[in-house]
Amino acid sequence: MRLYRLTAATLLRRKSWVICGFAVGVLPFLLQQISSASENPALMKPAIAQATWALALLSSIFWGFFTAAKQGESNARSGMGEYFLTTGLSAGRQLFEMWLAVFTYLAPLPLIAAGICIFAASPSLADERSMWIATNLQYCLLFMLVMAPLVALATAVASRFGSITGFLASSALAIYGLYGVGYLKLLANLEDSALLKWIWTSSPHYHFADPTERLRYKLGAIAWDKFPLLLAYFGGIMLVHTVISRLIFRVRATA
Amino acid sequence: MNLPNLTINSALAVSGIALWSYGSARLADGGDFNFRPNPLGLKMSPYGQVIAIAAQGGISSDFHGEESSGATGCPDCKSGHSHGNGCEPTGTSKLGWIDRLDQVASERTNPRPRSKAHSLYLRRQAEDKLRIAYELDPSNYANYNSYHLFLTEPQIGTRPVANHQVLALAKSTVRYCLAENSDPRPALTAAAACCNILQLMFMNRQDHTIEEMREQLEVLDFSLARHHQLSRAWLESGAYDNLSPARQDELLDRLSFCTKIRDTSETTIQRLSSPDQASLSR
Repeated sequence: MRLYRLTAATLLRRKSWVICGFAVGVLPFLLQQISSASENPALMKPAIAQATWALALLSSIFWGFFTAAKQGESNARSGMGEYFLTTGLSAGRQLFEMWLAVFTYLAPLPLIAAGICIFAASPSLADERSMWIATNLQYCLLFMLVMAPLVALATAVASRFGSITGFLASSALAIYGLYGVGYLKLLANLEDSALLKWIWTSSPHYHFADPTERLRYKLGAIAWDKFPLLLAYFGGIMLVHTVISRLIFRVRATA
Repeated sequence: MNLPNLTINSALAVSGIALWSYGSARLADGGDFNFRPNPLGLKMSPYGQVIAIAAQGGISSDFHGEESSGATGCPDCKSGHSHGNGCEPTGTSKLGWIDRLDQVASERTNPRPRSKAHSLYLRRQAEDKLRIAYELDPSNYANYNSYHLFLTEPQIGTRPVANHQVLALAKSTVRYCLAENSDPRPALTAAAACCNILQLMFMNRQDHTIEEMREQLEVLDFSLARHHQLSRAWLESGAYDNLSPARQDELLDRLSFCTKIRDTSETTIQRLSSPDQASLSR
């Protein structure tokens, strides 16, 4: 696990994780001052819950994917990958260790968001509160399941095509899955075109992992009999992304 | 690629595609794939409400840009303030230098009037922004009513909309606003939407019965009662003081306007339901 330790230590020293921690952990409490909660105190908790999850999402997309891409590129360009290869660390193993290092910093973000929602923005009714906790934990899991393979994809694409491409590939895919598929449905006439309909159905529908609406309207936890289906769906996407990442990833700049 | 790698990748790919397609088939069957995108949950959220208010500035400058010069608000002072207490023309010397810069930057020096196509474009911009502002916060009084005006007034609006769509918009606004159980302002928007519905009913008398109008008047009364009830709760808890004095005045203005329209509507319904009117309409 030398590459893991090296990457984790590098990220720690770079200190940009502090910004993400601040954004998810502290900013929601400051931001609610500019929301309409300043006029209507009943909206304070919804504003906090919304901001913390939204910022966790933005931090993962902008910081997480960019960091992953940067590590992937520097591993290939600096000769570090080749060095580790000579010590017996295979390409797949290198990808895994770098992914794990970035994910170590990314995984706390949904945990902090869920924690803030549970401790600072819980509904006051007891039965609603238990549903609220379950909803947050479910989304914590879905969030990680969605973000994890995209981190690996950013690293892999960056190792071959450079960090900008790696970052854009993952973040574009994430934003497309979160919102783009919805707009595709609204803008394109899906019923008329079999191809568009197929593209729409086979797109990764990441919006299932976006909790803001569910929390805002207190819709309650996702039914437990349907939850495994979502896990299977995102698990499938994760496996496919893993294969693509493994195929694209390379350890040296010249092939 | 060596054999173990190939085996691992193939196994992952096959199981991944199988799970993904199984999941998407099941979810598509259940209709779960259909959703209205709401980036970061901004629409109808506490943040959306603030952005909806902030959007009014941009809409106003588009609309007034269409009307007169490029600046917002009154063409005499170009400061973009509201004209509640009348506007006192200020000489250039009295303005701060930032205001003077603003005046220089936004002054219209083109002597030719706007072409029809350009006016239409600017009005369409205002209309699109109003729609977004309405989606961000359907309970905002100003945004809902301006959007309604754009939809119903052919002189201003750029896309003619059928009456039943305007009615549907107003009814969904009423539903949305009456679900609020702390802020008294959405109830006032609901009342305004009821007034709009009644007005549309009066204009298209042949399509609506007197009973429908009476029912709508009851919803209007309910909205006003709800507004009074929530206002009282806010006054008691002190939350009313969170509103700035300008907001409070605005609230009272809107309330008195809605009350007046309500009273007029009641008289109109009485007049329409009187026997001689009923026979006339037949």
